[in-house]
Amino acid sequence: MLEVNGLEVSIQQQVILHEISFSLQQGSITALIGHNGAGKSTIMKTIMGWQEKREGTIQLNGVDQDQSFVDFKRQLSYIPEEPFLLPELTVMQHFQLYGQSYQLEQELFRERVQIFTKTFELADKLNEYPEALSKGMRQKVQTICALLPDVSLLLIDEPFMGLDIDAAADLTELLKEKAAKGTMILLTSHQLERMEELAEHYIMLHHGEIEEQGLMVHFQALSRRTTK
Amino acid sequence: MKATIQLLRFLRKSRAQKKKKLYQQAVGVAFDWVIMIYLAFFAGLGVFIGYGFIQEAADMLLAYQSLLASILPVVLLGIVLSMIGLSFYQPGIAITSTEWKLTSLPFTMEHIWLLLYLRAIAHRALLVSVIFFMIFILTPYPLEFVLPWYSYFLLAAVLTLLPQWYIFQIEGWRKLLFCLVGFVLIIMARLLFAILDLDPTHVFILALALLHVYLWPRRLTHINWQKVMEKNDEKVWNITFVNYMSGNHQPKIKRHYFVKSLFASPRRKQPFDYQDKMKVMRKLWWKSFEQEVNQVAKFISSLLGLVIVLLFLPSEMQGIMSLVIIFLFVTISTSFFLFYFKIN
Repeated sequence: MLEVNGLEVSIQQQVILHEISFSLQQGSITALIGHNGAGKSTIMKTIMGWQEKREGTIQLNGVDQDQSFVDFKRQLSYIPEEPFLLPELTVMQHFQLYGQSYQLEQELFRERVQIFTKTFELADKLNEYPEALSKGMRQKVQTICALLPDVSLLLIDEPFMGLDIDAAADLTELLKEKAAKGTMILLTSHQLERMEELAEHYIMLHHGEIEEQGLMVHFQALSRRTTK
Repeated sequence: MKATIQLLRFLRKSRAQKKKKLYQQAVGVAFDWVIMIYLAFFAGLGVFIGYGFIQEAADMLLAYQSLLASILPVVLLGIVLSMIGLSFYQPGIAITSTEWKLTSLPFTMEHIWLLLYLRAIAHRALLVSVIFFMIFILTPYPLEFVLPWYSYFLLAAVLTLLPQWYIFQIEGWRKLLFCLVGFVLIIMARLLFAILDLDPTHVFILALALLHVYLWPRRLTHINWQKVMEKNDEKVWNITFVNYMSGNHQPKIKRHYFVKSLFASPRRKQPFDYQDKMKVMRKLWWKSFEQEVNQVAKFISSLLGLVIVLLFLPSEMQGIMSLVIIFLFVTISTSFFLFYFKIN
């Protein structure tokens, strides 16, 4: 379970997030919704530990982010909006890096790499460096890296950005599978249709505050009412 | 920590492999075997001539031994000043974008920073050790003379790393003020030691060590990671060299973080009347000044450094050094302004 309580974030005296509190249940898929600058990515960065928080606590399965940062991080993986691959590593070495970092068993690692590279059509690119890949391919590599380990929480910033239709559909299925196995997924996207298809819950942000949160079906009804 | 060590080792190995490939491609474009053979021949010849010259100059080098002993504090001061100078351009600890990206995995920046700090210390220690080993082997200086110099150099090189990292993070007028206070303190210390007729060598080392008590808890606060990564990426990958060798002569736009921070103000971000010629001219003048001011700053800080070193030199060398400084000032000022007017 992810618990975020009373989160406050400021950058140079400017309040970016104010009194953010929410929790995610095991196996749930939650969409962070909001306009540009609403604070979606800042929430992700704060959970990742990249953005310093002024106040509040973040706990993942009882492990406090401030108390035991490495144990906290070992339970989550992240897919950023822009793929950030390491220039010194080939595609396969990126997978090895993630496998090693999350202490994935060798046999399981090989099996997953084979399945994912086949699904995302990267099997012939394993020895390529990032600069030899297109943006979509780099995004696929980044996605596979995050999907390799079994983690409690998957953070995804704009998961379908740069992916072709087939890859986006495959990713949707893979995320549903992950959630069915108990992984909590917190994602942001401007593609509302996909979010409605994928997520069960939503959290709506406005100017760094939670405007409303609940079940996705209620959000759909709400958005229809608003558009009428 | 063990996992972080393993990971950094894995990255270093992979980076070395990629760099090898990159350099092979870059060098392969510019060199061929004939040039390589000629270069090796001339390098060997150069080493042979150099060694012969040192052997011939043995008596002269021994005669300078006592003079060198008297300028040890100046050399140490030079190391401190070069650290201040370097802190405008290099953080000293090689955290590239790769190391930073590792923080998205279960690793902490504290561990990564500490390991890379230790690695940077080891690099500096190795460099100083190799230089002094060569001096010991090639020159007639005895071990009793070389060893104290080696110890002081080693300490100074290692103890200036953290201050360099800390000063690198400071921006704008605060940085200038910080450096100015440092210069004034050094000058005051020099005058005090001259009056009291004391050897300042140990005090320099002790002051650097004590500075760590203040800096250590602040080593990871207010860090401009973007700047750190950009400078280190450029250095680690030696992009300038690779671009040059591969024939890519597109000038890289460098961000002058320090200069920008000096002139940053909310007023400059305001919209302006682009039909007012004076305002447009003023904007353009500022733009061109910002581009050149980095060179001016380098020039002024080098001169300041020289002036401070001058204070520590024996009186017989002060006259010559003063002339050198005036000559440098006139030549660089003239060439800079002539160049500036030529291109405009």
